[in-house]
Amino acid sequence: MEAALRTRDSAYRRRSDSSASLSSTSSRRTLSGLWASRKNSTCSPEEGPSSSPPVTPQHTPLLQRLFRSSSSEESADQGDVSTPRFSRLNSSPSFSPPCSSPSFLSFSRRKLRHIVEEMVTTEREYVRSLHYIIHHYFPEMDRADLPQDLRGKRSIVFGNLEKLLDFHSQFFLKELEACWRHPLRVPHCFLRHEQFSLYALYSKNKPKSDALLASHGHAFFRVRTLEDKMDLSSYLLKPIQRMSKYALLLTDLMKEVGVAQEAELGALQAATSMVKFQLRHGNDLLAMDAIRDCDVSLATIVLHLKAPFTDQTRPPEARFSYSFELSSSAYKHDVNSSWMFCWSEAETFREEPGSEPAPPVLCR
Amino acid sequence: MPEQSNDYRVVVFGAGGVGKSSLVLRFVKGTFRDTYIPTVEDTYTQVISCDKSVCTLQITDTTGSHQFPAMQRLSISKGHAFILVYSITSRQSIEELKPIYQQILAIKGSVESIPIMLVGNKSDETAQREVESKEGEAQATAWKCAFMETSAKTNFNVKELFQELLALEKKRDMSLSIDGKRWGKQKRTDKLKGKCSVM
Repeated sequence: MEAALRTRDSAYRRRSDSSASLSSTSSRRTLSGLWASRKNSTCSPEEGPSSSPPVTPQHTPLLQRLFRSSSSEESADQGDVSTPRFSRLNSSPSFSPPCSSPSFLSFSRRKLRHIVEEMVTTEREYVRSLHYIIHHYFPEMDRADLPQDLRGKRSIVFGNLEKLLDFHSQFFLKELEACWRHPLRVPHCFLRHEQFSLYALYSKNKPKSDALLASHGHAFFRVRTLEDKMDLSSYLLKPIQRMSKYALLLTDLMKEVGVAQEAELGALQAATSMVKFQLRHGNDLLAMDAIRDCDVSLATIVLHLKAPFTDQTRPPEARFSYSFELSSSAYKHDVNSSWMFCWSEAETFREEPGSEPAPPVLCR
Repeated sequence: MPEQSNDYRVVVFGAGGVGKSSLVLRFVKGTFRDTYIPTVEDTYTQVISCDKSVCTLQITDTTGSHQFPAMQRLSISKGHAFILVYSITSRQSIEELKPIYQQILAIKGSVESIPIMLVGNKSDETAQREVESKEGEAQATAWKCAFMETSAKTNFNVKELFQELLALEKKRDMSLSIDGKRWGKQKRTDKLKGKCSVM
């Protein structure tokens, strides 16, 4: 049984990789046959319209499927030989896919499924963490013995975390879960929402939150850590890490989607760019704030232009150029921590790395 | 600077595929799965019991992170100790650690009091070795940090890695106390002598 499943799975993978080889043709025929048994169409699961009913294994008799799968046998020996992930799926207690029977899995390329599975499980975990913060730490701010310096500072301590939770719990998680059967719909979940811009703002606020907690909050909030073994700082880092994870997961999905699937690839690229744009935006906001807080005047900060000036991927509404990289702290002027920054509407300074900190040179 | 707290955050850095999750899983659960390949190895938070303390292992995939240094900074500034993992089978993977190290140095000011361990993982894959032990050691010397070669697959030096890392923490008394488990491998005790408290 497993061998047969693997065969068809690899056939699927091969279909996405190669365009017109003999074996992929045979695979396609196999898959078409499988689909035809259900809905009399040659659409693959990923390409099917969103309104199509979910295909479940019950619709295709097991024997029939096994029989059909043997026709693609020739591609099996060249295919992926890794162990199927059924055991992992089934053993995960927090994970309850709508249809977790092994035969269902064979309908989709294993790797894509694996990535989406990871995205969904970690999303659930993430939403749980956000919930935890809101339900356990938010009420603390109403305590009568709240230190004076923390009063009225909820929005600084937690940033826009509540909005993040609303978005993820009410929309994003559910939509991701719906992609369980259709991995290639994942990018549309990202592109549908504008709330990802919340992350840049969350990042921007984070240093303020850190500073406030470091000076006043930790003694107060420490009590809570006994319960869950992680302190508030660890929780508050999660949104920062989550956004980076989306970028990596989407990049991984992109690797698995062949160039033949142009539309899907385009959507994935758009989603990845969006996530990276927000990461960069957060990064930039942080960098700008760091400059503002710097006690050295702007003119003496070493600015290092690295990438080309004009970044075509940058939306016009972005207030500054993204073609820079901020390597480190503004407070130190050694070579390794020189700043790279350029403003679209301001002068840009540049200094070669390795040279002595010299008066910045105007390079535009 | 990270504040003192019950929560001791160990940040594990490394490029994709060097075995960050494998090391941590081997350490925490004592298992290794060849087939277990997490697609992305960041944000893996694992709570382990340290002596009188709780230790959170945060695995951060450095792939692409150099694009967002100010974001990375938020994670680094919250870390108490750092594990920089490369694979001995990939020279590129040790190269990718360099900007991370520089960033830790810049954020922390000095690495003298920060436990940092440079780790060459996949030491079992000798045939594919691209980075010699000596090179790893030399890099660690230059970085003033500790060095170890490990294999999550064969469970070589995995517990020792975490043990020694925590022993490097001078600000508080840290040591591992994983219930009912003794240190498996003693081969490298010469290296660990005086630092490792064997339970």
